[in-house]
Amino acid sequence: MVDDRLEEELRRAPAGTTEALHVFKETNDPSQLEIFIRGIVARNIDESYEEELEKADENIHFIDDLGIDSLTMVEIVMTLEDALEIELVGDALKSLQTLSALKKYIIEKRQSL
Amino acid sequence: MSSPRIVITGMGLACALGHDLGTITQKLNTQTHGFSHRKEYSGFKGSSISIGTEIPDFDTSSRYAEDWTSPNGHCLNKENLKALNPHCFYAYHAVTQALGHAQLSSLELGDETGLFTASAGSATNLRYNLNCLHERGVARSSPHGVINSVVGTLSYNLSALFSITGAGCGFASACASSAHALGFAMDQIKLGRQQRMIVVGAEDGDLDTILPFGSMHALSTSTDPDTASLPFDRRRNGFVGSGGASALIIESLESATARGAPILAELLGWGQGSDGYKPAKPHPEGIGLCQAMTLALKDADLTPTAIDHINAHATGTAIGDIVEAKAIHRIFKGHAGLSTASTKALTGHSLSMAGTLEISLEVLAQQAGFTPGTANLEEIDPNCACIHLPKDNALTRANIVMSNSSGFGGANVSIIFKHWSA
Repeated sequence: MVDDRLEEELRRAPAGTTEALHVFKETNDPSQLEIFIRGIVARNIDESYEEELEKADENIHFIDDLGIDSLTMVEIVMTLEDALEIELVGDALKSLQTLSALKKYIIEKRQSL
Repeated sequence: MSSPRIVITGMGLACALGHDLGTITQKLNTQTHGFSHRKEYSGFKGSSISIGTEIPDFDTSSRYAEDWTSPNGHCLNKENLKALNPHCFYAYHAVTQALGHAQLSSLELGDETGLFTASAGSATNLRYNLNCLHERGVARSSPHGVINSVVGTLSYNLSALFSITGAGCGFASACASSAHALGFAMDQIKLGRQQRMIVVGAEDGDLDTILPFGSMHALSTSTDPDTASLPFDRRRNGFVGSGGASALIIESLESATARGAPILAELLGWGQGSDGYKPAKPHPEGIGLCQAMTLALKDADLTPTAIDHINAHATGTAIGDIVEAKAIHRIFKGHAGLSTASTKALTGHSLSMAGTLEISLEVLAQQAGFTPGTANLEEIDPNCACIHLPKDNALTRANIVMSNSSGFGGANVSIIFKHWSA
């Protein structure tokens, strides 16, 4: 048997991440989505980048600015997909490497559901 | 031009006896074993196994490597940890310790240093990752699932963590693997291809690694930790599985001398030979092991009487110990001063890590001035009595030692080394 990956990822994310997810799913409030994405990214980055993430605006680049490698980026996307019940298909992953691009894509994707 | 002399300048261990060389030497000296009851073994379906080992002061029980702890802490980040498995985590400790022992910083490694490793991969992570694959599908399984489990994981993780850019390769000959890695590492230096080699053997040593050997009826079914591992003893009924990591730093004498490194022992030669017989049963005459010992003596330019002591592979299985005793007798008969022992009576059998672990233990004993016996050897199997098998440690140092390792398929390696005295 395998464990519940999403539950564990949310448990290990910073305080407020899970709450932001629930509020966003109820209200579609973009500010709550940003809190949620930041929480999942923070859970996956090295401690030395946490301050960088905290003070960054939404144009921060996941790989260039936060040192996230391609495999960890896949982990982050898997968590977002599971939590938001969407699928980031095909080449979307390659173009969604800033916070703003990811936020915009997710909002549009959920609106089209 | 003569071949360069090769010396051991650093050792690092995380094994059933401990994780610092002083404690391990003390346990070896007092014949204190590292065995304990393992509830996860005895409680497993169909299992008659209850004794195993753990690595003291390490905790790698969590599914998440970020939760793992080690006695001296670590500076591995999340990205590093996601690629690891328990044996790579132990090996990180062992290599760090060995570099410190050899007075080397990781900044000095580069392309002058190569890395040869031996592990069977991580059975636990492989099982978990494949379960995820089958239950969740390709798109929902961990992207780190391959690199944290497959054979090769020890090589590429250590190479990256320690910025080693010289020769790099993993060896797979079952329980002879780390001895093979060390033998070929010696060749790298002899051939002038590398100035220095780091050789690492490591195994998770957990339920997924060990219990499959129970299905082969190769594990000890004893319920008493004090008498669970009985190499060469008439009462033996299998080995106790273990794991951890063992790292050796070896280099040319010229390199070690030039940087004023502490020299622990000199590697004199090695040999290998195969049985060509059965996948899981040694040749009754031990022909591969005889070949390995003969070639090691030839490589070291020594006659059998030059060897003071043999650290045997003897794991405590019914057939293996007898075949090894007979093979040793065949090569060394008439050499009355030779003692043979199996330190697996204290450590258990750490599979592909056994070769480097046992050489390290013998070097520690040489440093401390004693020679290991086979702990708990009360009733020598008459079939093994053709060789001298002391139970107690000798209070004198064995100057020249041979270490034997044998793996499935009759893969055999013998390595000869000598105590270093300046």
